[in-house]
Amino acid sequence: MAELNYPAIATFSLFIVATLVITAYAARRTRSRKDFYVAGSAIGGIRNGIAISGDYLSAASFLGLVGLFFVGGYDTIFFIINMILSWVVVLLLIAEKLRNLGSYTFADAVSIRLEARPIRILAATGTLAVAVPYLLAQMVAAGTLFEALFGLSYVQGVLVVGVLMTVYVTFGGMLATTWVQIIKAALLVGGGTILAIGVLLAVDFNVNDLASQAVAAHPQGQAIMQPGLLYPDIVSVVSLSLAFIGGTAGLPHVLMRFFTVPDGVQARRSAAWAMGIISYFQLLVLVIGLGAIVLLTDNPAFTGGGLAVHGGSNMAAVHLSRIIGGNIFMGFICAVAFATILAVVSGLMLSAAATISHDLFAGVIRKGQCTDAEELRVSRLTVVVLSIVGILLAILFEGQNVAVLATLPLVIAASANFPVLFLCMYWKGFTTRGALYGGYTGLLLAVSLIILGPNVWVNVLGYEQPLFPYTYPTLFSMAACFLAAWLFSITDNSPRAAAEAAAFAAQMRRAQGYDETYHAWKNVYGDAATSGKGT
Amino acid sequence: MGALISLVLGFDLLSVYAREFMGTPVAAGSVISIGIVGGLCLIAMILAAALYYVLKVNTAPRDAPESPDHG
Repeated sequence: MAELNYPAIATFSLFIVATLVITAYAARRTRSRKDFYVAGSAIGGIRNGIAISGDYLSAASFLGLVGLFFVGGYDTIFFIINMILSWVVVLLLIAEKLRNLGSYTFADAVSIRLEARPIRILAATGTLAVAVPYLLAQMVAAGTLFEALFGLSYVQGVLVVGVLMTVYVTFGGMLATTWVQIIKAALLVGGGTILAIGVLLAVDFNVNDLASQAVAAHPQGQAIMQPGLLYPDIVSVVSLSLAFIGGTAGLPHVLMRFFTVPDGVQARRSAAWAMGIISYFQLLVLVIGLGAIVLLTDNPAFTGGGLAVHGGSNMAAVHLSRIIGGNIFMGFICAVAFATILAVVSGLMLSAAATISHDLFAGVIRKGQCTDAEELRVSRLTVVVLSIVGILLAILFEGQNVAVLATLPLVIAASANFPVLFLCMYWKGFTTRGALYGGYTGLLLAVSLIILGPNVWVNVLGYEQPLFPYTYPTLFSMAACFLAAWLFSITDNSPRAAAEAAAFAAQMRRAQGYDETYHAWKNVYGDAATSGKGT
Repeated sequence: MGALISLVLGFDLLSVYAREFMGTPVAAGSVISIGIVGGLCLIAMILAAALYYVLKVNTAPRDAPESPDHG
């Protein structure tokens, strides 16, 4: 049994108590399906922005990126630039229009002018293809982390995460999930800031000195300041860029958060705040990564020599926190990492439950003929069932290499969900036929190429050479989705396609906040809007 | 948006096809490379563009719908 880390237990226990109190509060306010799915669309733009950053910044964004910088230096900047750029895509192209078009899931927005049933099935498939592997990867990581930090077994760790996630989502719905994300985001950004300041203090805030020491310490020397250590070819680099640029705007649990605000203006504000917080945090990662190289490389207390950090490179930030702030600060960082996982799985679970109960049950099976109470019951039941399935799968996958599961969500989101959503919003000629062929082509190609690529074919299945040489296949799968969507749309001469094109103008007006939302729009802009003064 | 994506793809291309240049230190006595500084400048540009967009759209007057009863 691992040695107990009391600071980690204390911090994490505080987090659990605070979030359970909030869940109890949220449960009293969660009465309708609108409350459950989107917190009554009453969350403010700033709070939602913080919650989105909490949803988006997973353990991979913190522990993973620091570990990546520790090993590969320069190439980590590809991740950071693309992660930030992806939020410009969301801000400029998606946030406001999505909020004005949809209600609970992104399928609501896409099915406004396209045929609802097949589109909802496609959207649900895309959502579950993103959420399930992502959920599984997080739960396996949680079990492993729990085992290392709290002295409990892997299974107990998975059970703790599974039960807490079920309680948050089933009773508190989106309101509780939002507050879990907000608290987690504050802890993560606060912890990251303290860690970065600790690193900078060690070099008297001289960044050039920090970089020089990192180059001197790293086995690759000056090469860590040059590109090519991790991604040596253009296809890998562009595929990675596209996975982030399209993937963020296609992640269902992130998109769902834009329905929690009252209008498009608040949705835009949310995206801007999320982008600011995420950008700040990613810049901290650069400093923390440099600090990890300086203080951990060849440090016999934390490595077996060179970059061979105990527990793998993902533990670099955790070990660094011990050097910076001792056992207490390391315990705090560990608890934050665990809270991060818990918050992310709660968001994923809610989006998965919403697509099953709202898109599949209410939209497809009951064809929209179902009461608010029925749908709410199905949502809660879905959360419980999915949690049990998630727990069982995580136990089944104990000790397995699940790194591939972290690659899947972004690639699938970029190759299926994003192109369909984007084309529906911006292309008049986009038809249901194009959406279905495009969406399924992107989805199947993304999954197939990942299986044939190095992550699964070599690392999991044990073959010597991959059949597809790239880790991220987005350049091919996203392009195939757009191509199929275009081809099958322009060759669609059916009356339905003509009707869908004719409905585009009305959809655009609604996306801009007019039509049904006119009165809400007027409340925001007031009389100044009609007099042309603005606000 | 297109300009920002082009800049990022340009950065990707330079990082792959002009490695030596991107790895050159920005100044004598510094180990920080042109690529790292370029990447940070790119991040600053992306953030500035986003901030400009948000300020612009949140303060710009909007056309009123054709009719208050529309929809």
